[in-house]
Amino acid sequence: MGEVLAGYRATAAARMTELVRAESLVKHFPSGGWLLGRRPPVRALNGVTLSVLRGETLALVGESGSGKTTLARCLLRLTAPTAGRVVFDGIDLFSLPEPEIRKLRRRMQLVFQDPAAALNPRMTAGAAIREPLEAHGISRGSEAKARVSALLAEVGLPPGLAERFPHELSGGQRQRVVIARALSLEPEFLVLDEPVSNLDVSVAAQILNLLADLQEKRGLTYLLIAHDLSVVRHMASRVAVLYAGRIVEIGPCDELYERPLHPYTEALLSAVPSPDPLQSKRRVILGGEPPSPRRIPAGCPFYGRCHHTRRDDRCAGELPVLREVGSAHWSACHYAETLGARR
Amino acid sequence: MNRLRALLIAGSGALIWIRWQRIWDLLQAGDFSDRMAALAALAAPLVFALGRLPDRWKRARLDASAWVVLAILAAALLAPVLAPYDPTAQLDLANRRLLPPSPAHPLGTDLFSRDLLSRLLYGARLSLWIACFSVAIAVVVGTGVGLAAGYLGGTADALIMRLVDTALAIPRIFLLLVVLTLWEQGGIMTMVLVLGLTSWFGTSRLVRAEVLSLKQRDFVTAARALGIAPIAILLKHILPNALAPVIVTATLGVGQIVLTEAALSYLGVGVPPPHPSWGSMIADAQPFLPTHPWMAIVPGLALAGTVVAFSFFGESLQAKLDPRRR
Repeated sequence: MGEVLAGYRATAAARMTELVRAESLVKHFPSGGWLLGRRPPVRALNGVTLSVLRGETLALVGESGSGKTTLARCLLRLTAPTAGRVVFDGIDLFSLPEPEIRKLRRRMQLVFQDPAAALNPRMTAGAAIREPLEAHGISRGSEAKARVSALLAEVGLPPGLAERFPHELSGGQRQRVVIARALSLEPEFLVLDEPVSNLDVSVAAQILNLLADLQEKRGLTYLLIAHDLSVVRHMASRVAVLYAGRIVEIGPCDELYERPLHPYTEALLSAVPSPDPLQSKRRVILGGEPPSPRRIPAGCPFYGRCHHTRRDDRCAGELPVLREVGSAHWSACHYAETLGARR
Repeated sequence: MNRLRALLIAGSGALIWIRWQRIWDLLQAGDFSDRMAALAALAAPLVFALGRLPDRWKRARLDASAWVVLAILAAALLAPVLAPYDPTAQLDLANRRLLPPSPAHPLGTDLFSRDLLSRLLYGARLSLWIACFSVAIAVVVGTGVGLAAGYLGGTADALIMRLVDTALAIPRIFLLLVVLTLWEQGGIMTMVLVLGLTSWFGTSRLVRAEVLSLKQRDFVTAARALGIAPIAILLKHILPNALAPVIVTATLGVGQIVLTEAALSYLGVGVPPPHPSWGSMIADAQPFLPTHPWMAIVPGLALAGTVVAFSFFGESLQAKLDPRRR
């Protein structure tokens, strides 16, 4: 973990404009069972260091269980990490007392994967958007009502919808309500946890366009969690690839898509269907499964599934650290350069 | 729906017509519950004629069990208006003891020449009054304890739940017998308190389980992320969503407590005589079972019917309160 931190330092220029920084975050979920001996903890995050820059969209990709959601929750102080720090605009989040953090919550918000679960089934859309306004003393009474209508209009919903309960709304409408609720506090930083994976393709496209418009208009910073790589390519300026609770590659979106420098990223990208039937691609099919988060091997966590031609004993024994392999392009593969060259 | 409305208006109107003298007497010289019953009887036709059900209730559609429960509640509430005699009055100890059913006494009379129909109706009022108050106490205490345990978690939760487990390990009827024997002259209020304070354990476990699962739900995480104060999260987001199963168990609990109260009254530690109670009516009828079987059968049927009606009503509520089945 320390090596990862040592290996990856944001450049001085990036640090100037960074909004959120995670420093070697570790999150282990303890396993129960004191009676018959403890099982090893679930290691969801194993030393993640990354910065989210102001105004950018940083995408977080990786398969289920790679720690994406845990990382997002730590960044918003919804889950306390086992070790490491989160710094939001120069403030160490986990050193703040609870009342202070509630004030800071105005600046960072969350959009959920399943909008039906993210809304209280017994609260109307209007009440849901209004609650944070009143809790933070932003506006009350008829003023709050006007704010709710304005927010609904901003996410493309008619004001009459404020009276409806979540089960009376469509999936897309619900997600718009969730976005309006998050925007009610006028945050700078928005975590989008798979915002469209529960929606139809056409509705998903509308929501993505809405999010892009809102970002432009309000100067928002996004952390986009997704496993649909075409969505990521459409939205993101930078991409971080998570594998077994570690960042294995991070870089500018276009460059990473054109020239992946980690075998795992390469395999992920090769799974994206191409709209061009004539373009033949080499499909990398991964065997096996990601390592169990209870038993992560000593060397490279990807060793068991790696298809890299240079894979050797060094990979099995030594954990590769993130190192800069291109301009602002970092990879945690011992043989990142030869992966790029071979292709 | 309109035929039903007409029927209800006609029925309640006829009741006022037939029992006008009694209603007038109750209004003039009755205690609080008597006056309430008289006013309810007078207001009923008006309510049926002018009342509008809220749309949410209209959509819920009452089923048979709900109608039976409503009828039992109406009979209990209107007992002073409906009952032909005073349930404790010994009418004529020389000539009217142990009469079989007749037009003058539709269910006959008991050993002390008291009218059994009147005792049955007043018994329903007393039983349901005791049950509703006990359940109200149990729901308030159980919900409070469950919310506290579930929300605080950790040591507080473990401590509270172990206490509840301990209380659940003691057989309730035994506990009730001991307490009611110790406070023999406590009267009905003691009984309500004791019944209420010994029936909240189940509710608290249920609420705690609901709170634990709701705490993990996205909308609660969203509320935390939005900076809503913990107490507001508890009261506005968790409590309303934990209430549906509580309402269902409360309904089932009414039936249960009616039964428990009858058992205690049967054993002679429940409702003190001469107040009518279904349990004590069955106990009183016991020596006359071979010759006057209806004396035990009628309150027994009323008891069984009430418990069954509340159970079915509880189950149908469970189905209706589940948003997935709406």
